[in-house]
Amino acid sequence: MTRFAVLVLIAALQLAFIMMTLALLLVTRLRGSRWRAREDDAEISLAEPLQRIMLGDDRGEALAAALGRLRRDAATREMISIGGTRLSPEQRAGLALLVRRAPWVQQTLAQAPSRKWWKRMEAARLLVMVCDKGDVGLVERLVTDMHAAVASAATGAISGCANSSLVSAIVGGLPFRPASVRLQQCNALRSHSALANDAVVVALSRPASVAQLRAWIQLAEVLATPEALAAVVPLASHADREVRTSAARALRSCFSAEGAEAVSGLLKDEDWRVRAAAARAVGALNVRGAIPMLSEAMHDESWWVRFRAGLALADLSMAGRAALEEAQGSPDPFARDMATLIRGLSDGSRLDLTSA
Amino acid sequence: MEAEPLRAASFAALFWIDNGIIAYFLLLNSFYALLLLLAIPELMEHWRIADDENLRLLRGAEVIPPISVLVPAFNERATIVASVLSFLTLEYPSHEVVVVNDGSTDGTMEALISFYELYETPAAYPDVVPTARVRAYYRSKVYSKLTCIDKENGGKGDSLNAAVNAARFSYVLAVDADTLVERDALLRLARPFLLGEPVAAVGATVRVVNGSTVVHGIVTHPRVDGRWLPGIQTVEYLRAFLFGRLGWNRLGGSLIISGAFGLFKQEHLQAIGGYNAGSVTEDMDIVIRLHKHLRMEGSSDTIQFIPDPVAWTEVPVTLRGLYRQRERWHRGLISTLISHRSVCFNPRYGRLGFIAYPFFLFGEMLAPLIEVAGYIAFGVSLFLGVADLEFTLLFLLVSVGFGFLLSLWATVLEEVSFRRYPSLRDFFLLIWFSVIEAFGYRQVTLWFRLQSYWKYVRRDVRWGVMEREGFERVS
Repeated sequence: MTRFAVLVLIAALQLAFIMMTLALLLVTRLRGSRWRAREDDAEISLAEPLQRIMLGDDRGEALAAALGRLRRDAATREMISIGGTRLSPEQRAGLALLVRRAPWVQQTLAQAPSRKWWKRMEAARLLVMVCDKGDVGLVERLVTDMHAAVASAATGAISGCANSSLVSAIVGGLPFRPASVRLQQCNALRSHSALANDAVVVALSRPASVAQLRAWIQLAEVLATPEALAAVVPLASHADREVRTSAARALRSCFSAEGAEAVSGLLKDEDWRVRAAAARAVGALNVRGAIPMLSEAMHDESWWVRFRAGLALADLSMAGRAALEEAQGSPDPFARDMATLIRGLSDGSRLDLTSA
Repeated sequence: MEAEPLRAASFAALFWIDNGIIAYFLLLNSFYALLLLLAIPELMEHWRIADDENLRLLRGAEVIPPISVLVPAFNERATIVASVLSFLTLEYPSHEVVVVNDGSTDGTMEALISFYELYETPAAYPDVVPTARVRAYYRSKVYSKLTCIDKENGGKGDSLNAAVNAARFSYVLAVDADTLVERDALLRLARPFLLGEPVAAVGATVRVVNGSTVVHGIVTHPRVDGRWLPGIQTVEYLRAFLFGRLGWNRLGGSLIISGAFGLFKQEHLQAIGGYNAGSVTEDMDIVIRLHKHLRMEGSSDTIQFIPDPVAWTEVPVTLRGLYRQRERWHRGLISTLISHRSVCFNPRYGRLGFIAYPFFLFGEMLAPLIEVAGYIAFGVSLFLGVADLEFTLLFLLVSVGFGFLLSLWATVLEEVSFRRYPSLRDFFLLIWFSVIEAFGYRQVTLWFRLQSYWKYVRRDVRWGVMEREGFERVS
């Protein structure tokens, strides 16, 4: 084959591709317009039944029937949208009962074992809207999904069917979830604090890895129940600094004499991260007895410890602020500079930084 | 009798030079096609996860890391107050803004002090990365998130280093003071954290703001500028960001994260000594050094590109402005690649040494020289009859066609995913500019890039001044 023939072949292929791409572009445009028109039609067809259910004229039969007339994907999308933002929980529960056995719901939920994560996510989102007690297995499967977006989307379904086995499975799986999903699931478990409380107390009392302990301490922090936090107190003296830091952070969520004593003790920890977390906790718990230790922390070698100690002192009544003023006159330039920085802040800015 | 063999040898040499250029062209375009193919599944993956529902989950999430937004500013008095305000009001659970006044002479610092009620604070941060002398540190009485640094002029990289030193948080976002960052861009940029992915750096899309309607620093109606120069650059940016960089996610990560909008893990930045203050393309230099560092440390952190967080930037509307920009970009590319030449085909650097670096070397840095060589070789071949007119024209047509096809595909990707330009007018403008790019614009930018070699040899390190129309004016 000559080089001219090669070029001719490439040019021909190229021309074909260009024509196909142009056609694809036009088709995409047209399909996009049609898709939006269909979306608008779906919304319009649901407007009247939706209004009736919102005004209390209907229990949702008309809306369920209107959803049933839409294509599966459109019905799923509309149900997620309507249920998520426009209906009260009671109205949503009523509608869920009516559509639960509808073919489009079954088809979407049947995507839960799909290999494509976006299909599993669609199933998870719909499940949040239509979940009932019989869906425990499905919820467990989706909240422990390896794809964070799926696990995250399914988290909203926990409240619809939580029981002790589901809660135990979620608590047990927390250490393996990405941090954001873990936090979401901890927050979701707060609605079932009695079940979660028992599970986390048991979990924290057993020997466990650092990652497990950190996840369960985070759950205890979110639950903020005296029992869960009491289980955290012994971990303030754990050998691992990450566990101690997590414990200091958790213990600031609710005052207890044991917790206050434990975080005050952590102000002397060998690791700066633990000391900084402890200084913050002491401020949050308003432990006035720790003012001398915080004054000492103003001379710490770590900027973060001095910063947190300064903010905590500014929060601890007149005595704390006096200690901060004293630090500003200190011969130690580090303590002096930090005190100048903290005292220069407006109250709003200081509160903002304290909670950041 | 002696002239005949010489003539035959010259003809043969010309023939093989032509063939070499055709082979180079085919290889390069095949690689672009590969990038496009790799970008498609990446884009779809991101598009599916980028919708509002997932973004909503992020809002208020305490687990996404706090971010320090680093804003180097040099003589930005006219816009600095509004830009900083737009950075302060970004939607994000926890972020701070560190503005560095790089020895401005137009009253930039005074404008900041007055509007944000700044007060001087002690130098409470260790200088991990050396910088030009810092005159003073400031905090705002009214915006707790704001820190300002006033320092002597040292260039953009130096300002970023000063900001890296002062940044409190473990992730830093480098932005340009004259870039419009979309309100939810930071949240979108934090998506790898939502997904639990370890990242060292995240790059995002920069789009052309010219022609769009901008109200109070927000792009309310994205439009394609009807003028040829900004219009063609709109297509260029789409091509570069929608598949040029996205495709690299599957090839070990791109060598470029735009200096106007890029997120970095602070510990890595500090470990590699911060930005190279002497570089005119500090954004490329830092990414190559980061790649090398991650590789040498055996870190599992990755360098990613995410297409949906968007920052808008103004592009040059005059040839003079375009010349300054492109000449500087290419000069920076040459300088950076030469200074990191040890990476090339070095097994220690894996895909960086065997894919990314060679591509940027042969496909980007040397491309203008090879293209000119191609024009000359084909001209001479045509003149001497080594190549016929039909063949030469066909080759030109094929090369124009490849460029057009790639630009068209960038438009396709835009249409099937984020669709920022909904009007039919913009749709046809994008296609029109894809067609005319090869006629004139390509040759002009080739000439600009060629001049960078000479300037590089002369050790010219000037940035040049970017002429701007202003966001509200271009709308």
